[in-house]
Parts: sequence; C-alpha cells; structure tokens
Amino acid sequence: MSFVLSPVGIVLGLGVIAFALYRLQRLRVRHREVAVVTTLFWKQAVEETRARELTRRFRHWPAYLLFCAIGALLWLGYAQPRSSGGGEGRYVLLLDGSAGMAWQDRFEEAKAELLADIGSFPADRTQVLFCGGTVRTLLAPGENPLVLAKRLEGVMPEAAPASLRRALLRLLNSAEEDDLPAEGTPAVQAVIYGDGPLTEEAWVRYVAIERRSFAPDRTGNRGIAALGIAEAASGRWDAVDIYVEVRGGEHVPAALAIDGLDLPEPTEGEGSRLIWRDIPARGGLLEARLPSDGLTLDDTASVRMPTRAAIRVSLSERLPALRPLLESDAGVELTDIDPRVEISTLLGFGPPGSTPVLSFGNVDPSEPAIRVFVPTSDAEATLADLQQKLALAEIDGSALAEALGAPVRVVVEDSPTRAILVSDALLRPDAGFVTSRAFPLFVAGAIRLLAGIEPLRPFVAAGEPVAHTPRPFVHEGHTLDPLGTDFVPPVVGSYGSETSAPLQASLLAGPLTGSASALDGETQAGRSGGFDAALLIILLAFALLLVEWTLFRTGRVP
Amino acid sequence: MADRRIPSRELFDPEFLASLATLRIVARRVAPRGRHADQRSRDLGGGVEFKDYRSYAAGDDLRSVDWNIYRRLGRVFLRLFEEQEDLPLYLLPDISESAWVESPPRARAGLRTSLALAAISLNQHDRVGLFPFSDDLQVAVRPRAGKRRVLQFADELAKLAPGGRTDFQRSLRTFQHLRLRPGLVAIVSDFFDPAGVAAVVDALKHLRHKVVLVQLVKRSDAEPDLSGDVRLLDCETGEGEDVSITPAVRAGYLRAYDDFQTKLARFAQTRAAGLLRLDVDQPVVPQLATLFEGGRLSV
Repeated sequence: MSFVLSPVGIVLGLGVIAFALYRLQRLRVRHREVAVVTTLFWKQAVEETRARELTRRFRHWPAYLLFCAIGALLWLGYAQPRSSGGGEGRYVLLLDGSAGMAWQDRFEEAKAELLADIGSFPADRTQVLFCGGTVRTLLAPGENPLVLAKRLEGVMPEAAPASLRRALLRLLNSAEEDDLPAEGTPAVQAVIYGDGPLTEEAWVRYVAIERRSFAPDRTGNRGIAALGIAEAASGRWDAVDIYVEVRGGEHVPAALAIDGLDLPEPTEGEGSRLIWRDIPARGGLLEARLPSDGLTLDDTASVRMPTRAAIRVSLSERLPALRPLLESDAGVELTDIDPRVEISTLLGFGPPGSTPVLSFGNVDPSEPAIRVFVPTSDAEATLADLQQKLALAEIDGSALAEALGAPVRVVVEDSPTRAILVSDALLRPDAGFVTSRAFPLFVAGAIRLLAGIEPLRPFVAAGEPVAHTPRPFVHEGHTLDPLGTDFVPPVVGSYGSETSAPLQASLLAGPLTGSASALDGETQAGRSGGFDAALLIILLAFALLLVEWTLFRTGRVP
Repeated sequence: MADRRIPSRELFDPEFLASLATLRIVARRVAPRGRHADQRSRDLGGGVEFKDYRSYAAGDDLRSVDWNIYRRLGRVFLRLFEEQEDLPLYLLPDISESAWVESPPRARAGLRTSLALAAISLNQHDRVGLFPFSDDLQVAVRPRAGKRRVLQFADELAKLAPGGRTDFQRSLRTFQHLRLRPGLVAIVSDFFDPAGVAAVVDALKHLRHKVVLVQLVKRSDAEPDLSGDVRLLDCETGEGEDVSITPAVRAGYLRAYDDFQTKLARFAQTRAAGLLRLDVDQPVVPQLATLFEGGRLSV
C-alpha cells in the first residue's frame, strides 16, 4: 500500500483529526435560548441524568468513535492509498514528443490517454518524461498527479526524432548497478504514449515496455527523408552535387532553393530520388521543400552549402615535382600573387598573420619527420583529426620507416601561424612516398588545412551525432557542449559556433514518413495491478456518514 | 416594556359574575369574634339555631332564661344559640414573573379565579382581603365586606403589575406577621418557587388558616414541547440552564414534575386543604365549579 502523502503526514493528519473531534466534542453546544417559567425540573432532570452516566467529562464515546472513523477515512482517502500489488519497481511513463507525433491529433490523443492513466500508477514510484528533442521530466516521483494536466498545457511535439531510447538509457544509467534487480525482473516498467520506435537491445531486460497510445499509421504523409551534398562527381572543386529523397504519399518533386533562390530542375533521378549536379558551392542555406500535408515538420529540410573557391598557392621553384600534382588539383590555383598557402623548401614560418607554409627541408633524423603547427589547445585531439585531413592513415608508415632507416613521427604543436614542416627525406625517390597514392592526398589535405578549408559535411540530421565539430554550439540562446563526445543537435534548427560555420540540422528520419511498422523490442509490461483504494475508502466514509445522519435524525447521536 | 397588566374588562363581565351566583363557601366552623354573617361560629350568642342549656349565672341576660324549665323544675337555665359570623377570605394571587411570560399568561386565569372567589365570598357577606405576592407579600386590599366591592376588587386586581421571583417562605411569613383573624387563605399560583416544592410546602405548613390551593397549570408543564440543545432561561431568576434534551433528560423532567405535583397534593390532603389544578388555557368557572361540590366548598 502506498500513499501520496508521507506516512508521517498520514499519522499526523489522523492525530489532528482525532484531537480536533475530541475538542469539538468537548465544546459547549451553542444552545437555542428558550424562556421558561421555571428551570426547576430541568435542573433536577439534568442532575439525575448526569448521576447515571459513567463519565461526566466525555459523554458520547460511540458518537466520537463514529466521527473519528469518518474523519480518518476521509483523511486516508485524501492520502490516496494505492495497493502496490506486490510490485516495487519504478514506473516511467514516456510521452513521445517527437516530430512524428505532430501528425494530425496524435499528440493530443496521447496526452489525453496519459492523463487518463496517471491515476492508476503509484505516485511515489511513477515518473513522467517528455521525450522530444531533449528528455524533460514532467512529473517526478512523489509529486501529485494533479499537476500533470497543468504541466502538459503548451507541451507540443518538437522537430526532432524520437528520443525514447535515450530516455530509457538515461534512467538506467542513473540507477546504481546494485539497484538493478536480477535478470528477468524489470527495474523499470516503461509505458510509452506515442509512436516512436524502440528497438530491442541488451538493456531491455531491465525494462518492461508497454504501449498505451500507439497509432503509427500515417498513410498519406509525405516527407523529405534525405537531403545531402557531396563532392561534385564532375571533379569540380567549386561545385557540389545535391541529393534529395522523398518518401511516402503521392509523388511530388521537392523544390530546392538556396537563400530563397530556386534551383533549376534536377539533373538526374526519377520518382522520389533526385540529384542536382554541379551546383556552385558559394555558401548559403540550401532548403528543400514539399507541399504541406498533415505532418509539416518533415516537409522541409535544410543544409548549409559549402563555400568553395580555388586556393591560391605559391610553389617554390625548387619543388618542380609538385607542380603537376598541384595543377591536377581542381581546388588549387598556382600563383605568386597574394597566395593563401606557400610551398617552399625553407624550413620555418613567419610571425602571426603571415602566410601559412608547407615546407620541405632538411630535418635531423632524430626530429619528427612531420611537424604540424596549428592553433590548438588539445594536441592529441588535433592529431587524431589530422589523421583524416592529411590522409595520414593512407601512408605506409612501416615501409617508409624502413626506407628511411628511422621511424616517421608526426607531432602537432600549438602556434598562431599555420605551418607544416616536412622532412625532405620523405621526398627521396627511394622512400617511395612521392610515388605512393597517399602523397597527393597528403599534399591536397595539407593545402586545405593550411588554407583553413573544412571538409565537406554532407548533411546534419537532428538526433544524429555530428563528427569533427568544434565546440560549443549556441542554439536559441542556449550553449550546447557535448563534453568529449560528438555533438548531437537535439532538434531542427541552426547551431552557431564562434570558430566555424554554423550548422543547419534537419529532420531526416525515415520512420516519420509513410506507415510505421510494428515496433521491435516491445514487451508487455507486467505492471503490477494496483487498485485505487482511495475510491473504496471514500465510499466507505460516505456510507458511515449516511449511518451517522440516520442516527442523528432518529435522535440516537447528539 | 409594554404594560402587561390585565384590564378589568378582561377579568370579569356580567355573565362571569352570574355564573358564580350558585357557588358558596361554607365553613364548618369559623373562628370566634367575627362579625355577623352567614357562617357557623364556635361563639354562642344571638343566632337562631339552638345549641345547649347552661345554669344561670349572675349577670346573664334574663331574655335567654328558659322559663318553661324554670316552671317545671324550679331551676333557672339559659338557652344557648349558635352565633353566625363571617369567614374572612384572604386572596393571595401569585404575581411573580412566571405568571406573565406565556401567552395567554397564567396571571389572567389566576386573577379571574381570585375575582371569582372574592365575588363568592362577598356575596355571602364575608370579608375579603387581597394580598398579592411574588418575592414578598403586599397588602392591596385589607379585608372588607360588601357585595358591591366586587368592582373595587376587579380594579385592584387589574392594577397588579408583574412582580419578581417567587418566594413563598418570605411572602407567607409576611402574611403571618399581619396577624389576621383566622380565615380562609386562597393561594392562586403556579407554585414554581425556585427554592423548590419543599420550601413551598414548608411555608404553607405554618399558615394558621384554612387553605385552598389553586394551582395554575398548562399542558406544556407535563408535556414540554422542547427538543435538541437549548439554553433554558428562567424567567424569574434570569439564570440559564444548558440542557440537551434527550429521552433520558425528558424522562427525568417528567419524574421531577410528577414529584412536585405529588408533594403538593399530599400537603393538601394532609392539611385537608382544597386543591384545584386549574388549566389556564381552559375557561375558569367550569373548572372552579369542580372545587365546589354541589355548589359548596366546605372548608
């Protein structure tokens, strides 16, 4: 048996009721005044009656006990006792607030069902979570369920994928391992109000999942399932290809616009998958649109277009071998006028503000073969990032070390001026580095790193991690910092950063469109069948009140 | 406060007086040294009823000598006759507060009863005095005779104003101090003395007169129509008594009232006093007639 009120509160309340009724019994009755010719006989009658009573100070014990019983029952009814049915697990009610719940009246239906059910759960062990872009607590354990209706006002689905899995994982993570019961006994009994998918995973053995409001059929909904950009297949550095995929409903081609300017018809593709080729990469916000339907959140998607202009590179005449390589790079323009990157044979670099340098020079074999100077506060993280940007993983380090007779070491150092100093030993023909397939990638990556060109980000999806991003981001006034993990934009929107171009996250979740299939991993929760004892107690109290009224009417209680 | 006195026109009318014409108060013997009237006296004197003979003594009235006995026996005897004197009636109407609070007030029936008794006595040449009482006794009209004084009595009764609380002990003690010739004391009252019925009976026992008690009662005395939690305010003392009227309390009240009635009746029986329980809500004369068996009230 559990109560909304604490045991101390219940006992205290019962004590107060008993004392108050006792005092009321002791209170003098407010008598109706009647003038009589004499009180002589009444005095004698009262004295005689008193003399026959067992006690003089407290005359109506049966009536007092009856009133106490009625008061105690009403108080217990207010305390809302509930039979626990033997279960001691936690109940977590998850209200799906993902974008899919914006379909017609689905969210209102789920809210109504949640409000109808909340009274049947033990308040002290029930938690209600809103699973939108972020997971928020709507009702904490022990709170009065009556406040839930007020808190649900104004809660709307968010342009974000379902976060049910995140919510359940967070609950499990918050529990100490010792608190987790033996396998087979769920620690958390989750009831999901909504259609968000939830796949079966290892931790599900700790969670018994039940669906209470599930109507995933969104037949007729049409949405953008994919919007991405990629390097132009034509090889153009200053252009990108755009891919758009539409799912569900009748086929309607998506319209594209960059900063409000419509793009021409797609170059390739038919039906729901369309490709635009060689779209100039001049920055701006690329937006794909569909005519609005019953679920508008997935009718638009956006992504930031990259800015791609040829990188002016000044090449030292002492490095003629690099010229064909650079000339073949569509993103490089060899020039000595106002270069963004210099490639030279002089080891070293200028003061802050000077042109970034890629230099090949004589380096003592005991020194690192590659030294990268970039502004950084975390050398190790930057080095890991450079693995991709400089294609270091493509270099056959062991063969190169064997040829040079020394290990090839790469170090990253903090410097306000970007520079990459490479030992010219790597350029020796016998080293094989120049002729390897890694060399063009290394040079191209080095030039782009020195020019500050960030790699192309094909798409940014809400709810999906975005790798290799600087931190922190600012969204709608809130600073978001993933603290060591990849950044995950919680909802659709723009995420600004001081050190890089802003991100534009879109809702690119397939299950929003069409008709969702039955959910995986759903199990029927063995929710303990607690019953609302408050109703029974209130009914009993009213029955006693009826008895008291009858006794009063017949003059058998004062 | 409104004048609660009862006008004389409400106390009597010609029909009221006519209905009393057949009623008489007859005393078995009245006290000696009264004025001549219709009652038989213990005095021997100039009446018409022969009573006895006695020997002549010097100084006796020769007109009383029975000369026929003297002629036959040669001895002088006097013939003795009963003297007829009056029976003074002392009316003691209760004018305490309890006689005036109800509707109709008990005083109305009490004063009509007093007037009726006065009229009867005056009709048979008896003297009648009026001594209203509450917490003490007043002398409203000293004993006097005369049929025509009925109107005067009515006026005097109409002048009586509500008094305070009832005090039989004090009032009757005051009456005793008046040292009136023994007669008939008619007490018209509800006998609700805050000191209790024992004090009433004790006070009555000290009266050296014949006594007639007219108890003014109402149906509600024996069947109180009260219920619930009430504060009973004694109209005379002003004291309140909080009472939760339960069946047990009601039964206790009835026992107490019955005990009161019994003690009053036992006194009347012991003292050979007349006791009339007069329902104030009913006409007075028919009830009064029950006190006069065959039209005579023998005291």
